[in-house]
Amino acid sequence: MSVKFLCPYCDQEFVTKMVLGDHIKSAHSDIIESAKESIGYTFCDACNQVPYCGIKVYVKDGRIIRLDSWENYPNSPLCSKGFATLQRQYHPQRLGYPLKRTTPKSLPDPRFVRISWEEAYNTIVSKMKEIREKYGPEAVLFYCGDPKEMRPAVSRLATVFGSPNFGTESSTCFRAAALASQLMFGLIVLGNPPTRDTKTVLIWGTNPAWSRPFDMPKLFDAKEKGAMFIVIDTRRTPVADKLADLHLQPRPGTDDALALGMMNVIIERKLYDKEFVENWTYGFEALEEYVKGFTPEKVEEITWVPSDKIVAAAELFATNKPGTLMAGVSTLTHTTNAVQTVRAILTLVALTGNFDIPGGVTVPTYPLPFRSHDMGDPDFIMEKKKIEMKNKRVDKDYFPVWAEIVHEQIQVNLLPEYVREGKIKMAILFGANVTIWPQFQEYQEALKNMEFVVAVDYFYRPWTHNYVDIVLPAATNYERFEPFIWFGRKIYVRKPVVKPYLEAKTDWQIVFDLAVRLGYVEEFWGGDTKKGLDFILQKAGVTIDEIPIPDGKVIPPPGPEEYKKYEKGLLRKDGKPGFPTPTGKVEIWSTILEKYGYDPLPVYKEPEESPRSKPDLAQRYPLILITGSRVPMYTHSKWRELSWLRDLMPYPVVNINPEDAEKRGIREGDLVMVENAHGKIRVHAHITYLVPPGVVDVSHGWAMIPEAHVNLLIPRVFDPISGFPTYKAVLCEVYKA
Amino acid sequence: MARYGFIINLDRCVGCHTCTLACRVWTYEKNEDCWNTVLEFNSHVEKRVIWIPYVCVQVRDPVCILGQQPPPCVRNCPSMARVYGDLDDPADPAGKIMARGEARPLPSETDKPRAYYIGRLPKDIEAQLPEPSKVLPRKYIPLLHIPP
Repeated sequence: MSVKFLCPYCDQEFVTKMVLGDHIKSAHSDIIESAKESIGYTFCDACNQVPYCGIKVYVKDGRIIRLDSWENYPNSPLCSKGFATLQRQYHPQRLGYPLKRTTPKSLPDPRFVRISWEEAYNTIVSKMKEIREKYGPEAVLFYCGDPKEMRPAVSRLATVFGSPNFGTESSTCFRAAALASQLMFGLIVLGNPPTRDTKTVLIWGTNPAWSRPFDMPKLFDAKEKGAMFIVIDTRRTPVADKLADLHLQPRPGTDDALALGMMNVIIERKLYDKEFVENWTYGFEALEEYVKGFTPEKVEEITWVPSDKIVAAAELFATNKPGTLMAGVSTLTHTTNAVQTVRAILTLVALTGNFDIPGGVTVPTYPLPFRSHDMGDPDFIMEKKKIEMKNKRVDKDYFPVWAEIVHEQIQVNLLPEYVREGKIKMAILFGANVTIWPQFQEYQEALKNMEFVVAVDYFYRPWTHNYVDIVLPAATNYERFEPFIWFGRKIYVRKPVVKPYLEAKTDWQIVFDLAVRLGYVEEFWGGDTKKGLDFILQKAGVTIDEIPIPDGKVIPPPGPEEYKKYEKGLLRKDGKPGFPTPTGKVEIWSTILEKYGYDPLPVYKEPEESPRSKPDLAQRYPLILITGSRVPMYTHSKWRELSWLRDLMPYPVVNINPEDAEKRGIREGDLVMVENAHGKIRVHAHITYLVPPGVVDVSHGWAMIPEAHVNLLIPRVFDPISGFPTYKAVLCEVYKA
Repeated sequence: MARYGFIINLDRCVGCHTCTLACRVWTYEKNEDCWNTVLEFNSHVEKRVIWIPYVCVQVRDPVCILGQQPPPCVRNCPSMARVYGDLDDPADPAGKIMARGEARPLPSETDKPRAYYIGRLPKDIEAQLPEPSKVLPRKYIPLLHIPP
């Protein structure tokens, strides 16, 4: 009897084990390879940081089995949301095919059916051409929500198509702060984490523990080395609790007054940097006069911050130099005085001479010659052409300062108005969620009233997609290679670690495919996204293929890091000393704001709705409502579909101080109503010292629980300069449901 | 004999839950529960919120893959609020902290503790702390599970 050896993969018989072994090695090498674990690397898109964090991915049999932090990578470690992207990758409800609605948009049930990519592309392209024919290319809105990776591609398509109306969710986050900084410095300067030279860290309206956890090692490190921390935050956040030597808790929406109060102390006591102020700022005398009214006592009355703390914080930041600033880019801008609030805080950096000194608030000397993906590289997005098309921007009459300074994107927040006025007829939306806006029903209505709307997403989200015509499935961060990223002068790239889910495609590929079908073959490199990225990278003299994974590649700088670059002519394009502003100085007095009739100084303005501006309303609604603040397990409206995260926070809450809860007979977990002049919602109560008495913090982003949607409580009132909504300063009352 | 365990720094835990998710990702493959959780308490005496991590060794041995590297919950903690090592070996970083004598187990823990805490624990919280077996594990959730 002869023993036979059966191949487990093809049932062929062999006489010896050795021959079978050779057969498997030669005929089935692919199977053997795939059964082994392999390691890949990608960027995380679970939140909205730019540049992105890094993920190390373990793959077996073509499936991702485990994740870890990308080692020796600048933004590290990963956070809870980053780890949960594994569950997102294999979520049974992910979109896998293009969908087309089969009912008119006037009907609530869209009855989507599966279509081919060919049909989807042809429909979209013919609609784009039709709209361009009928109303001009500017009637098509191009919009990117989250993540930010696809922005440059979408923006380029908008320009090539002839529409300056490209907008993003930065209409509600970051861009107003960046605009404020551009008005003052001519540069985007919003502070940075401490370095080893930093002696004082001013953290204003941000809680990196839950929004940028990868900054925590630097902060704890600075603390251990003896740096002093001033944390300014209405809430007692973990960062305030663990790091602050001084914690100031202003009433929401009065950070402008607090900054002016600190300036009052610094100027009255002559603690400011005279050399810097005299040589490099514009408008100091007017400021000096204006802040006289903001004595610590007066500011205590406005902000609820004890005057001795205002004095102590001002003295510390002005004298214990160098000091750096880490400022919240959305907290401080979610009021009706957004731009001026940030300008007031940045003025503190200028007055104290903390700009561009080692350990202070710095800008890189030799940044790589391309701009980050959230704004898009100017050459790639063809910014010059956008500026030429400025007159066709839908926001130019509403927000002229934004339209002048913010070349790369429009202010989208007045979408209902743009549609009602017949200016926008079609929209192409990537990762869009219309319920991010206050009174979001008006935005749903706007989508409904457009002639054609396309959405690209990972999941079907009815609160947005019920109002669109075509939904396309997007490939995730594990399935795409676009784009590359960089930290300082080090560039990182990735490769897809698994194949796209069903028929999902990468955002960049969708844009390039549409472009080619519209006839922009040359402008979009024949549809080859890699060539598109190489077009950006060539400015640094490299190509995608030359950058190793996971190590990345450093492009050596032309010289050493310099400080006080304004003295050396390193900040202006013309090489002259000074700042790239109209006066060449740091504009405390903004000549651009002056030109458009706004107050040129960083003035205090009471929020539109507050106990001081509406005392009668405050009788009825005595609590101040803030919303939009970060939680550790979600980013805004994202990832409620992941049970690993829902396990940690199953439903939306109102955070309420024990004192306020007791007064109202509210216990932990009670269902309560949060009501104000704009609406009424029902959420669970969470009793916590996170918020001070008099302030409640309501979870946002819970569109799947309609009766809990906090944006029903936010009015459509906007900062006049930037158009930012007032998510963080309205009045309300809370009572048991 | 080596006594492996955790030391957790309450002055550093910022309640970000990264440890819990790192644990999920490294245990679900084995159809295992998640053996890490972070509880939140109000200290009425100090008027502040405090986060208290609970770890696997308070109930059982680690289930994640342990090689030369520290466990996933340790190496991914952004504030370096925990270490894992031989508590009895003064040459080990964990043993070194133990040797200082400030680390203490949770008051609710009974015999042979393998998780010790350093940092400030407000007095009124101590009495509220549940036994580890009451809060661990966080039940297994399959990869493909959709929340209700």
